[in-house]
Amino acid sequence: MTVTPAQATYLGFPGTLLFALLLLAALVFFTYTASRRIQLLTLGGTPENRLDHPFARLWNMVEYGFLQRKMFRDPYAGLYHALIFSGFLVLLLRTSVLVFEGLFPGAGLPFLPAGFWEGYLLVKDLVLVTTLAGVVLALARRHVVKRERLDPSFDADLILCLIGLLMVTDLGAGAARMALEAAKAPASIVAGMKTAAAASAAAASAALASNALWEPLTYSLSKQFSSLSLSSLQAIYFGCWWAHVVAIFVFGNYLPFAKHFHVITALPNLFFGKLEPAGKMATFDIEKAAEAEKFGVSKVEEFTWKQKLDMFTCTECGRCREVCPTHLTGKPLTPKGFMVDLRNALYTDADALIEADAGRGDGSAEARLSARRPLIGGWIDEATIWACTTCRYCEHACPVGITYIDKITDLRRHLVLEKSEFPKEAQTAFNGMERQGNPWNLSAADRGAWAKDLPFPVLTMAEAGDAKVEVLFWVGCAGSYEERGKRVSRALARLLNEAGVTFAILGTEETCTGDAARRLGNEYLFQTLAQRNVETMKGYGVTKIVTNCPHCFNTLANEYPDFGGTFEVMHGTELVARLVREGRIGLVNGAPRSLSFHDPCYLGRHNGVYDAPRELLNAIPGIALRELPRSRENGMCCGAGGGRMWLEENIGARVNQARFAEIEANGTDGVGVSCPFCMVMLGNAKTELSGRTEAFDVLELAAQALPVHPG
Amino acid sequence: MSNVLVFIEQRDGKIRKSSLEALTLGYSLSKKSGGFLGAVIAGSGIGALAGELAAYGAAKVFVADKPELQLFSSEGYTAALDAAWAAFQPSIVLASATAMGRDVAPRFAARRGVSVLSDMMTLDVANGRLIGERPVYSGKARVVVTPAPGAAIQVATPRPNVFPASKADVAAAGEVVPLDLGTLKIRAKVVKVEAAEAGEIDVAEADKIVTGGRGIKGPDSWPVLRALCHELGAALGASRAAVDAGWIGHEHQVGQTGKVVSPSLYVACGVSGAIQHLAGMGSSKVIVAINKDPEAPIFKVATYGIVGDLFQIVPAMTEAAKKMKA
Repeated sequence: MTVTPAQATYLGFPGTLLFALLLLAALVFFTYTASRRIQLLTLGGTPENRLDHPFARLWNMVEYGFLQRKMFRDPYAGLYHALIFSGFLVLLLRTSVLVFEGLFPGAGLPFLPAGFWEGYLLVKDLVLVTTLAGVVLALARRHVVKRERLDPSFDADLILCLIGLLMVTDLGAGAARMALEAAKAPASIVAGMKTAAAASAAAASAALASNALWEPLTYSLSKQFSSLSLSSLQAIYFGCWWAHVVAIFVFGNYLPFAKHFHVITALPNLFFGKLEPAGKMATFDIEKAAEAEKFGVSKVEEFTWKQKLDMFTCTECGRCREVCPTHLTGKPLTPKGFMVDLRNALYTDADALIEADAGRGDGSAEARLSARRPLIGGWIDEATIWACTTCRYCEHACPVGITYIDKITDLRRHLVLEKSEFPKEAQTAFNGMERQGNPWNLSAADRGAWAKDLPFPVLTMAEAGDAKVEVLFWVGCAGSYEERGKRVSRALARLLNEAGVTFAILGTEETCTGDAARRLGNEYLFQTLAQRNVETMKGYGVTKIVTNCPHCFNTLANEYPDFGGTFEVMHGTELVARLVREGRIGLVNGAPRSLSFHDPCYLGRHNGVYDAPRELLNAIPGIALRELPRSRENGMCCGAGGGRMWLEENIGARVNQARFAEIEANGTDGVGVSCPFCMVMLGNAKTELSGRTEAFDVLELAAQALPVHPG
Repeated sequence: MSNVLVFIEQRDGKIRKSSLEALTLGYSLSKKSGGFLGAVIAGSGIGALAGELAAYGAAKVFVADKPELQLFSSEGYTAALDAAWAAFQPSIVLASATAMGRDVAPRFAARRGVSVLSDMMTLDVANGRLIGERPVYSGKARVVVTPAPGAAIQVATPRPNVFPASKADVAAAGEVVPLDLGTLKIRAKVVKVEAAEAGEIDVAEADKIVTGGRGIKGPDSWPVLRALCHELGAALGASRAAVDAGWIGHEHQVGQTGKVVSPSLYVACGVSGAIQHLAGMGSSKVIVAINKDPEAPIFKVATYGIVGDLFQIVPAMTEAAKKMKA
């Protein structure tokens, strides 16, 4: 029987003891680091419950974690990551066996059923090589077939090499041990110990045959070693074994310090991920915040534990950056850079934060904290905070469930509500929303004026009185005031009228939903508007709402429930597509026309409505839909979201022009939109670039296809 | 008998027109209440300005002439007003509702524990008390205000461009009274003044605005609009499209994300009238729109609409304005 490295003695020092000491050191150090990281997570922020719906959470972890759902969007990266990830899962068992063997050499594996082990050996043998291949592919992605989203990283190279080393030492130790056993077996036969030796030789050759069967790759490597002397084999075996042990301990302890912390935190981060609708922002108690004189986040520790777990988990893969509209147009914000800056802010002052939180010591930690680099203006530029269009591409792209919009808007909340520091143009919009219920500050009395020249009456809820109203048409500010928006509102009214749907509007009782105010950080204004609108609608017993503005749609459907307003909310395209499907509307007119479709972020990525506008377009005679290269989940923002509609865009290229250029390149006669703000932005871009592709609202096109009624 | 004291603004040794308007107003108020008109002026090397003020009826001109008053400072100029008040004992103090007047007048009032009637559109004196109108709700309504009864000093800031400026029938003595302010403790100092494109009227303050949009086709067309500005005494505005195209600086931009204005005359040349623009100028009193496209939304808010080529119409308007003035 071959002596295992743990059984051997080193300068009189028993291997088991050496191993136990190494293990103890690794565990102590890791426990220390981990406890510091956990302290960092839990100090400061407001508490947050992320244990509701445990099964949905488990499924998220399985789907996006174990099944790597998002990783294969980049097939190359998906492949090597899956190779390495599956390797880790498989080798986790092997590592526990190794620890067991190190502590109790020769004791066998009491916790594994017979037969399982052989099967496992075969899998492990393959996985060692596939993981190694994954490492090589990953290094190649970083240095040969590069992607813009990846930045040069010593950390990444180090970790990859460490993983490679783990595989190589595992293979090396296994092969050397096998070669050693093979070299010893025939020798015992020659020694002439007939009976016992025969049995032993038979056992040895059976073991070798079993090696060839169950560990074919290790076995063939061991053949390469057959020419080596016993002492060399012994040296390779022991060397590799100990190197492997040390590498595991170093690897495990290095993870929390580097961007590869995700190896540990990604699965929990997915488990604790956001289950609420993507487009819903967190509501906080304004009164309480006012008492505490604390709005939003100005110091990194004030983020919640889950927000900090996001920072721990970012692996800097840059998938968020690739299509971020602000990054693509040369603005200072990249989601990855933002997350890394937040993490750096957190880690840089970690010691002082933990000391100050524990309340021990002489106040030196507090002094260090008061002198630290500020989060806003120090780590994160204000221009970065205001650049975000909240298009949510980053969150859709992130494979490990990191959210960004919540953090950007928390910082905005601080700037607006506590510091009153924000782009001055926002004030005009805030004033308008506050005084006239629309960001343009146009007269509230004119809100229902768009409906005046329709050939049928459009009643307000007040006018409808006791008459049955199936659905409330929520018109929105753009639909009420903006010229093109008003045309689209009339189109939807005509479509509903054609289908015989009884609907009403709120008229002058409607005000802005507050979407832009909320996303610009003015939570106070948002809540005032939300409460007022919910009260109005509840007063009329509204249950169903249709709106053509995706921003209103998102706010009404996802955010008003926090204010006691739970309604069934449909986007205009959803309702009209259904009416067409049910045969209540016939779309009969139309000329041949090729059309692109631009997905509004707040309809698509925030609310998952991709098919309704397409279904409706396909139902219109003559329209041939040609998808844009970036569409649906990957659609690019028009630049208006997150309140950016109301701000100047002074840095870099303009988002609307970048998107419009893509649309132009698609070569269609027109582009369909389903959001009044996309309409404005793309319309502006067409003028600015003297472009060709005109934007049409899907509902406008549908209304044009209605049969013409004489008279 | 009650004296009237008017705070006079000067910049680079020139008295601002709005101060002469306030002085003219002060003169008529002093005549009504049977008192004298005084003027106070602060600056450095400004002695020569007193004569001009006398022509508008100032019997006494209080001059605070100090090197440290070369540039405006809230504290220094308020100290000058305060010292003039102490020497002259007026019951009415006026300062034009300009940026400077709106800074100095409330500071002075706070020191004396009285209130300010701010941004007055009309101002009169009846039974020794000031009374006048002030716009509210973006000019949609006016509120009549008067100081609290028994106020020792009545402070008001008349709005610029509302009251006429005219010389007194008979020039007053204009006796120059130097003010000794002692050692000034100025905590907030104006380090330097950087003027945007000198010689142009600020869009935000202008009573008349001529705006160019994308329809002007390029930055070479500004002279066409500037000529009209010159004749009308108007400021030059620009739509976001024109600013974004890099044709002119952002300080000219009118609209949602630029300046929100409500002049008495707004001439929109080649501006389509997107809602973002209307939000910035929709409350102008008279809107003249010139555009080739009869469907342009600007015509929906325009008082007068001209469908045609702005390159023919604007020069014709400039000529007509020139003739009217001649």
